[in-house]
Amino acid sequence: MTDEIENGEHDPTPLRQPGEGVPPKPEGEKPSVAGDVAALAGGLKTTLSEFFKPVVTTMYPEEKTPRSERYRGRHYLRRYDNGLERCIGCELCAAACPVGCILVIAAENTDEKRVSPGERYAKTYEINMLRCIFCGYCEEACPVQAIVLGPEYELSDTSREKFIYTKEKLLEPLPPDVEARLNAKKKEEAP
Amino acid sequence: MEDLVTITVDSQEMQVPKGTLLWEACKSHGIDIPIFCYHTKLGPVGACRTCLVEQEGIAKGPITACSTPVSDGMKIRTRSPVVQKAQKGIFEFLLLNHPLDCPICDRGGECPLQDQTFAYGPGSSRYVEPKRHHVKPIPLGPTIALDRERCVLCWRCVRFTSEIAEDKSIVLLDRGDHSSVGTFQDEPYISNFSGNVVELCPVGALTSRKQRFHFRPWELQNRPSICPHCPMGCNINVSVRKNDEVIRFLSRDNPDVDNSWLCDRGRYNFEFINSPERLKAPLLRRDEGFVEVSWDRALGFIAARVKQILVDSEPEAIIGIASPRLSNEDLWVFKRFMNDVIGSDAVDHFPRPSQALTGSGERAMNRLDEALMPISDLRKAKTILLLGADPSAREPVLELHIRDAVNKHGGRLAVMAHDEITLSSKAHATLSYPNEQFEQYVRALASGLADARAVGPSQTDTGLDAWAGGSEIRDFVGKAFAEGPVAVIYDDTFKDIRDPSGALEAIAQLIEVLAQIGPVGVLPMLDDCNSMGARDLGLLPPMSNGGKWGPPLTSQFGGATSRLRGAFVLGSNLAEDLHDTNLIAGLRDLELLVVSELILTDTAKHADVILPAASFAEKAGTFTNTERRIQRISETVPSPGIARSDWEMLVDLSQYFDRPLEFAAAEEVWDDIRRAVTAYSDISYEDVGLAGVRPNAGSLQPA
Ligand code: SF4
Ligand code: SF4
Ligand code: SF4
Ligand code: SF4
Ligand code: FES
Repeated sequence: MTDEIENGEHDPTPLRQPGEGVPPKPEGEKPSVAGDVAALAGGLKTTLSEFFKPVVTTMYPEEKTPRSERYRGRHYLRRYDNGLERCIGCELCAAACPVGCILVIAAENTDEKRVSPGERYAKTYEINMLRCIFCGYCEEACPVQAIVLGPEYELSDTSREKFIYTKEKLLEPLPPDVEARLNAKKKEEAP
Repeated sequence: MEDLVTITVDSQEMQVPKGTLLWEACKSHGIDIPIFCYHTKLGPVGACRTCLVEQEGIAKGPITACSTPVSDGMKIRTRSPVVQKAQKGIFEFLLLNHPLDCPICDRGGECPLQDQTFAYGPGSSRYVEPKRHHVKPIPLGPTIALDRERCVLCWRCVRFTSEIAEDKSIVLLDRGDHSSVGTFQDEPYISNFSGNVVELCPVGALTSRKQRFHFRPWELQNRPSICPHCPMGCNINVSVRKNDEVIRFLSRDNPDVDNSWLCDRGRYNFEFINSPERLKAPLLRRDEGFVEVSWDRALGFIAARVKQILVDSEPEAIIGIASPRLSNEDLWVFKRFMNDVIGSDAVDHFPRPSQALTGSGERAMNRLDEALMPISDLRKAKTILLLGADPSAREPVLELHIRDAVNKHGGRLAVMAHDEITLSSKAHATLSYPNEQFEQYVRALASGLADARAVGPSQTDTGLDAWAGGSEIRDFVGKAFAEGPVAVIYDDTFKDIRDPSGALEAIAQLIEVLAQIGPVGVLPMLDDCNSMGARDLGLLPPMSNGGKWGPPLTSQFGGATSRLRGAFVLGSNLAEDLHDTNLIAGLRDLELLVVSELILTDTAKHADVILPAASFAEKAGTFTNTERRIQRISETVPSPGIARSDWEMLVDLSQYFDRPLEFAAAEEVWDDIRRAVTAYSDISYEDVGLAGVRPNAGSLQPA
């Protein structure tokens, strides 16, 4: 097949013949001005009836559509009420991530420098948002509900580097309503 | 032929040597039985009861597979309902108070408790009460932290410290459900071998304080290599994260070399590989300091300078000194480069004994080399004699071999040491000598022994009795030597000895006497991981009288009459190790000093060109260890920047000269070595394999 094409021995697909595919005019119908005006009026009727229906267009970006509770947008790392980070640096999110876009490097808490309750915390936590497919597996895997996917989806930015979300960025507080919902959903004991 | 017995396990018939433990027999036939307390290297204790199996005809219930030796006609069931019930019960018990904090446990992911619970345990626990909690982590010592909650009381750590390393520092305190691991009277656990208990612990109860939480096992790839920190050449696996960072060294069992133990010096010294100070590109000296240049630039510069020197000087005006931490391939290409490309036979390695050897000294060394024995033959020895050698300080895992030989194989340990050493407390006989009298003491020992056993040319009449140490020596001879093979371990670095030739002759004389009595073997303790290779490949300055061991080339720097104009120094940190102002001035005076290094060392700072070298973890090649076992290192991580192995850069440099070297792979270099070095000629690169190989393997034989 490929050979044929390369050797030019293959017939090109014939062009459409004139008139082919055009539906035939209905038999016996004659052109009339009244008929054309009626058709126009019929069309306008649809337009006018739509015109007075309530508006459904959302004026994005000034206005936004509500998102489902289960919407999976940008990630957040959460904190406990006392300010300590939830994340224990266990890397289970990184292990679960199907695209391998999470980098966690853990370290040990000391009494002088306590980042999270317990012994271990994430010294480095980075997500490459360009690779993320927003599957939410990381949230699913996390044993302490530290990483969650929030409602934001407007993640455009001006350079690739800015899409590596660092711990600092991820630790920004969640929108209060989402945080409240998460807290209500799971009554976890404070550390 | 060993006695074989036939047993039936789960209707599979197998023939195994009599006396094999049931668990080992099953394992060798691919039948998996869970274990915690049993460990092949530690033997059975029967503490955890995880390995229960059912034996037909035994009414009292399941038996422990780890501690039951096989007997003929035994019929075993490993998956019967009785066994499954027992296993489920045991696992439920083990997990009663187990915290199950797998997400933050360093063992999580390579944890036998996880794996075996998954395979054999119950899916859930009937115990719903709150679990017992302890303070954690508890530091057991400077290197090890204990998590009491996770401990499954398998005794492995206790057995390692009491039976293998014999520092007896980890103990099991209290009884019953109060049992816990700890140290006697809370003394800190300080040991050369502490890392091994971390590897032995089947759960995450013992962790290295240096490495806690540094990694998760599933991120790591293990790549086989050799520990570069001493001439033992213990086999290791280098665990690498994301293909670019070395995370840890794990032991890789080679029963003939390390028996699966590593010392802490070896295990924890890998940070130099990841160091941010590593050189990433060649550096060329300029007025304003060093500037990074391309390889072409650097090598072109070196070649031009060398040619300039060769216009009006003999090739010997350029010398080459390489570190015995380089691979055989590096050393060999270096030698070929100096000999054939530049035409200078002034090559040497450093560190090495600091004196030239006399003709008789060299003969003595060859004699000792003929008696070189494998490390594993220490267990055949009835007497192990340490002559001024302290394995614990220099080749720590050798200490474990000696302890094993004494404890399990009936060896006798005799220590002749200047000061008390760690192994003195284990010795059946000790003798101390004043430092400057090593040679006299060894000779006296030889004649005392000859006398006592009535062999060989006795020299006792030359006054052993009259001599101050005489009676001591007689006493030592009497206590030290048992009937049977003798292994002599001596320190071949001769750091404190003014006349190495004399010392070697004395040791050779002792070996002569011993050889008349029975089998004798020798193990030298050398300087670095590939000192043996450097010697075998002849990285030594020849002498005019035909001797191989000329005076060290390091002595040529800085003399007023020095005709030295250029030097290549590969990996030897002369300036730091020799603290010699004369030498440093000499380094500065050279017209060309080329240094190949990992980081900017004191020596490198004086160089005209610094070449960035690949570390042992970044190149393929071979090391020859203290028993002349050739072992392979491999490329485990990429080298930083454009650094490359020493042999590769030398091959490239040789292209600027009339007689370039042509090697494309470490294997090709090895083939060239085989053609030239008789000792290695029988061994192909493939032969070396994972376990290494000893050429013309000598053993503890009658000489
Ligand atoms: S949402 Fe999915 S792809 Fe994105 S970081 Fe989490 S696990 Fe990875
Ligand atoms: S976010 Fe959760 S899963 Fe990821 S490292 Fe932190 S604690 Fe572990
Ligand atoms: S600390 Fe580890 S090795 Fe020691 S007894 Fe407990 S589980 Fe076993
Ligand atoms: S004994 Fe030597 S080779 Fe073995 S681990 Fe220790 S330093 Fe490394
Ligand atoms: S492995 Fe057999 S009792 Fe522990």
